[in-house]
Amino acid sequence: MEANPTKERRFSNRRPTLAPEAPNSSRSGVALVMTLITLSILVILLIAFVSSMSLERQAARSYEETQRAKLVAQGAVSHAIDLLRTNIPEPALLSETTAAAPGENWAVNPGRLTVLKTNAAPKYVPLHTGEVTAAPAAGLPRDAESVDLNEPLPGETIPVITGTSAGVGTNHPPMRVRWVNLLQDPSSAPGPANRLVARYAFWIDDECARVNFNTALGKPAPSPGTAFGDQLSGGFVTPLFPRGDSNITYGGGSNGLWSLGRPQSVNLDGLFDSPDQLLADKLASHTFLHGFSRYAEAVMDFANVPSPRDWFDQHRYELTFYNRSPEFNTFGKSRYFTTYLPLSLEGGPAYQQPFIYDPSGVFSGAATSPEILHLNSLFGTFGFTSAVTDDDGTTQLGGNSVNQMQVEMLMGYLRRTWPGYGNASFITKYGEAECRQIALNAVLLARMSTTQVDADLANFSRDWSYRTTSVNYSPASDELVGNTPERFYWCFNINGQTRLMLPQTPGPHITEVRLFAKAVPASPAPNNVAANLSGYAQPVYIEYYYEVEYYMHPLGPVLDISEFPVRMDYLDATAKGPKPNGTTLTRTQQFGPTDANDTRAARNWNTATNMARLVTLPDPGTTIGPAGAKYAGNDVPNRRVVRSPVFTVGQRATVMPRITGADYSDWDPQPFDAAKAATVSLDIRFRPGMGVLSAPSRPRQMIPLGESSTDTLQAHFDVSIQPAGRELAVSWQINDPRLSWDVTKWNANKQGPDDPSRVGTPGAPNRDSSGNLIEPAEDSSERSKFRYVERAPTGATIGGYVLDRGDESTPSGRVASPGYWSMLHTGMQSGVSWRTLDFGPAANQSLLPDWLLLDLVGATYPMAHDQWQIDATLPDAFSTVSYMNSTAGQVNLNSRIYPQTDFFQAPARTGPLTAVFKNLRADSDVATLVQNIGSYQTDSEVFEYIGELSNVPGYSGSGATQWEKESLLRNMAGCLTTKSNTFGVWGVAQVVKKRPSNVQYDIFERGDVVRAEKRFYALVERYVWPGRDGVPGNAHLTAAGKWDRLAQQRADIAVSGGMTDTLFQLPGSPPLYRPAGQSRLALDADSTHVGTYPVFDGPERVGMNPYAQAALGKVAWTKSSLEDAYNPPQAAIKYRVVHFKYLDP
Amino acid sequence: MNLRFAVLVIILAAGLSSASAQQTPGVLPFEPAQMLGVLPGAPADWKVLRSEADITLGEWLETRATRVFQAPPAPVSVGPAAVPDASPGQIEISVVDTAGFTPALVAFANFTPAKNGNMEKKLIGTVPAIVIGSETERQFIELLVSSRYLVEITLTNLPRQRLEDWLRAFHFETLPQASRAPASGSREFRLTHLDELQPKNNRSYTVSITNSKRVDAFLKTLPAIPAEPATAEAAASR
Repeated sequence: MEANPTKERRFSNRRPTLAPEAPNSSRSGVALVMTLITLSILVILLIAFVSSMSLERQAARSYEETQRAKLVAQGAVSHAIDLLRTNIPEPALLSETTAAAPGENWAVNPGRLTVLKTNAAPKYVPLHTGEVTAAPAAGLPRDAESVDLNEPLPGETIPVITGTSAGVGTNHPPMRVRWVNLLQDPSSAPGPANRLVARYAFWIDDECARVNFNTALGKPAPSPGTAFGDQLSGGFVTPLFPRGDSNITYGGGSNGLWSLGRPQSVNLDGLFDSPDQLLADKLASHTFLHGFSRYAEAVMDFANVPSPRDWFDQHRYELTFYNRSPEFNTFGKSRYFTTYLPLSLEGGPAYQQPFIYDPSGVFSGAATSPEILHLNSLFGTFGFTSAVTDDDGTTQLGGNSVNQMQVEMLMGYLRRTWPGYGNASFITKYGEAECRQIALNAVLLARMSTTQVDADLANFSRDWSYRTTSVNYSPASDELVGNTPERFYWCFNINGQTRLMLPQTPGPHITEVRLFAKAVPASPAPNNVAANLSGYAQPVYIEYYYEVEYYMHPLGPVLDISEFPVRMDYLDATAKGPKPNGTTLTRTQQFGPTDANDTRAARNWNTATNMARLVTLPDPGTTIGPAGAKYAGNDVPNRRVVRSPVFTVGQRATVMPRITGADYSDWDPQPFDAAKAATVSLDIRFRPGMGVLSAPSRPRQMIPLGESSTDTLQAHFDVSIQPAGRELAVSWQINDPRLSWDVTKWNANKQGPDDPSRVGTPGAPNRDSSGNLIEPAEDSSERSKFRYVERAPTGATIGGYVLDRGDESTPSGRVASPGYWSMLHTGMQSGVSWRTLDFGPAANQSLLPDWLLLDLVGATYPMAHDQWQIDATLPDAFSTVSYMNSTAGQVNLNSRIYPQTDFFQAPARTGPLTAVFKNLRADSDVATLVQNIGSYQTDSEVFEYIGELSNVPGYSGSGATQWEKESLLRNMAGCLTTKSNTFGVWGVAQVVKKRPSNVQYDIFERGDVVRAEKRFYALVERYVWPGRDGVPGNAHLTAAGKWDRLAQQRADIAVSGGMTDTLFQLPGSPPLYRPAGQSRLALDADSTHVGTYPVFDGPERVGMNPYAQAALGKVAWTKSSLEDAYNPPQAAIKYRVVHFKYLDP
Repeated sequence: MNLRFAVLVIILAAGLSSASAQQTPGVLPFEPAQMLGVLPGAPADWKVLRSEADITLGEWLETRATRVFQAPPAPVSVGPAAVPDASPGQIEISVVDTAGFTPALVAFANFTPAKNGNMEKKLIGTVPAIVIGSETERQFIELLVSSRYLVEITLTNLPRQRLEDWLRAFHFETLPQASRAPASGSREFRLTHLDELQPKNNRSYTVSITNSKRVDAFLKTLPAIPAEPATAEAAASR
């Protein structure tokens, strides 16, 4: 110590500082303390800083990783979209006809896509990132390879996807799918420098396998005594049910009325304990006035339950706020919509207006031309109204030319084999002739479903007579001149034979014809000259007349049959009887064409005066209606017998004796002398037809159809002239009047000649001579489908309920379900009475099941009329049920959820299909049916077409008639689908960090770390691209911000005076005009004024041939690439995310 | 003509003379059941084969009631030269209410008794009658009663029957004094068939008729006959 005094002193110097009595030392200590404190603070600050920086760094990293996770999530959605886009077949190209477009059907289940191509094995595409079939290997972390997407969020107990419907917390059903691992550089092989950095997993649900609460207002229980109950049990087409009031529906009267079959028929209330817990009227008001809600939780606003949130959690697995299903058929072509005219694209069902593709650019309209008509609707505006001048200066009727094209389009489909159904076509099933007949029937049914008809009885009847013959053949003006009604028959050459056809016509029908003959005392004398009877001891004339029984099928319209006269197309009569000298006189008269080459003017049933004398003209005000109908409160019969004038065998071959006022010049009947013999033989051949009073040329029904004297009803009488006055009659009755063209059907039930009281059944159901019914009873199964689209004049009721139904833009409209096409007859050419499209099980049908044809017809639920009252602003397309070839609110029959593994136990989803069928059967029967629908589906069995529903046990129910057995498909076809355009992508994305020591660089191993996770839900919509402007039609703006390049109207359209259709001002509207005094606009196409659609563009040339143009309007086109097109005619499919949210906050 | 028949004729002439014939009858014919009541009943041992009545519609309504009786079998012939009996005799009796529709009565217009071959016009009492045929096989007799009713009798294989005996059995007195008038402007009529022997065959239905004035009007609307195609090729061209 001594050796180092400095140190000691310093030490010593220091010690005194500790003494109170040493102030100098005290200051030194303070400094030390201060230093220490400072150092401490610095250390603390440093630690805090370091800690803070560490936290900041962690936060930044976390944020970064979260952002990375979000990017990964978005990538996952892109992956999901790509999965859909690359596997779901695209619509057909413009250049592909109905006969040539590839047959590529597809169906969607939650979690699986099935693609079915003609003559190929089904392809199953998992709609998820991989199924889990085994527990993780020992030593691997549980979530190394897969993830449970249904796991509750951290801190919560409610499963993410299923809600509380099937268990909560640890009891939730697992929905485990495999991860997709992402390397830092996915394009390179894994390695130390290219490690796993992220992963994601997703499962794609089908939003159409859920109930769309925006549309599912629900139908009530069909209790007897209620309108819905009575109309449903009465087989109305269609039953109506009330929801909301008249403020929220168009044309619904005091109550809002909805047609059964619209998506509003799906019962959301089935998800409640009691139907009144759904505030259905409030929901109806909201959706009608404000559009669809755009998030799932909005449904809670309409739940009248103690805890809407609890209810929602319990049912959200079965709910969606947005779904749409595509309206393309299995051949990739647009389904046919049932509309009055090409509706505005913004508020209508079709993605595009009609046009003709023609690569040559020469629109000739010739049958051999490569033109392809693209017609998305079987429109109702086609008639005989649009005429064009042909190349040779004659007139061609444009509307009917389009009818011909429609028939050919349909024939293209009927020739096709159907994916999943082998090599059979409908041609092989029904034959060429029957298929043509079916096509004709379909075209007229479409017209009658949509065409405008006046409301009062007289005008309705007149319009009905016109419209129901407007799909007759429409010849050029110079074709078969004078040959009526033959020139209005469709004349097809089938297998070298000529087949004449008329479309299946709705009522009235003629079901019985009776021909009478008798002798009467000759009075007045021929030409009213008594001397002309000199020499006759007992002169008599031979009279004949006929009687027709008009019949109206069940639920047909009430009509004034004066608009439906019976004309004679052919008649010849040969009488043989005694002359005064006792010898036999033969007298033959002949009216009408003897064969197809008979070109005499006398053959024309319209202009040939003597033939016209054979007409039967019911008096105005003579009503007929369906059984049980009333008009203005008075009963209306469903059968009416009308008697022709009395005709007399005449002396001249082509003159029908007749007294006109005081003119006896044509009164030259042939007398016979009753004193010389007891009888006169009389042979008559005749062919009457029901025509149209105001359109004399057109036949509605021919008895039978034919062109020669042999295609006739034929009778022989031995008329008593001693005594005279004894009537004889021959009766022809028919089993099914839709087969009226076939003379064998009439002759099969011929009775007589005999006393009139012993032949036929005038005014009553047809019976044979033994009294047995030869037609099915009014309530029989066969007759149950003898229906047609339900229309009637104002004042017509049945069972106290209004018979008429509105148009397609009315919620209570008649175009409520594609299932009503089942009324089409399929046996007219085959001679099979009462056969209509069979919507029953495929096992009961040969070859192809008829219900495949449902795939050709689209649901048609455009905006209601008064939703169209929008002033130059785009309507809410999101809330239009039918929009751009998609339909909202349909429910997918394919309810089976994939993957089907022990690790993916998504609960069966029965609520949506239960909601579709609820109240159409007893609840227990509906439950069984839905269970059977689930059981029908296996790993190798999906519902490829909605018609397959008929194969499911329980489909037919306890119905006694075919009509009742098919009720589910008929009524609810528009609410069902097997496909989807809306997909819910449920997923999770993670950012991971590999432990440096782990060497399996491309997989997740023990010790690897999850750095961030995002769980998400994306609603992806597959849709038809409207063009680069994003708006249907040609949405181009002027410098002033106004739409231009719209459809060109012939004149400005005044919007005052109660007009309902105002979308004509918007980009997607067709050319229209306003007929005088009308509130609805009409398509601007006739011979003098032809409007133009908004200009099409794209790479393929489209236009109109002159005939289609005359019916539909002009089409203009400019060339562009598809991607640059504003208004592409090609249906280009794109995908978009319409809703996205991260499930974790 | 015996006394009873003469009385009948007088009653008919007096009581029903108001039913005069005219071109457009102002009355409807009586109902089938009423006209059946006019017909004679079956004599003892005769068999009723038919008993029916109808309202029919030709140029105008008429009601026809008809009964057919079969005579009892003739006594069996005896002796070795016996021949088989002929077919049983039969009589068909009808009464037609024409409601006075003139064309239906034209055979009796300007009635003058005369004979022409196998037809004879004669008066039976004051009732005009037309007889056609022979007494041995088939004979048809038609009488006009009260300018409204046609009585028709067809005798087959009844050579010994006396017409007057049958005419006495008619009961025109059962008909009401007045006939119903048709509803104004009605173009719809109910046609009825009654079958007394087989009531299940009874039936009726309503028939509307074509108004001849409408036909006249319709014929005036016919357009001109269009030009004929020059050849038949047009027919084959479609």
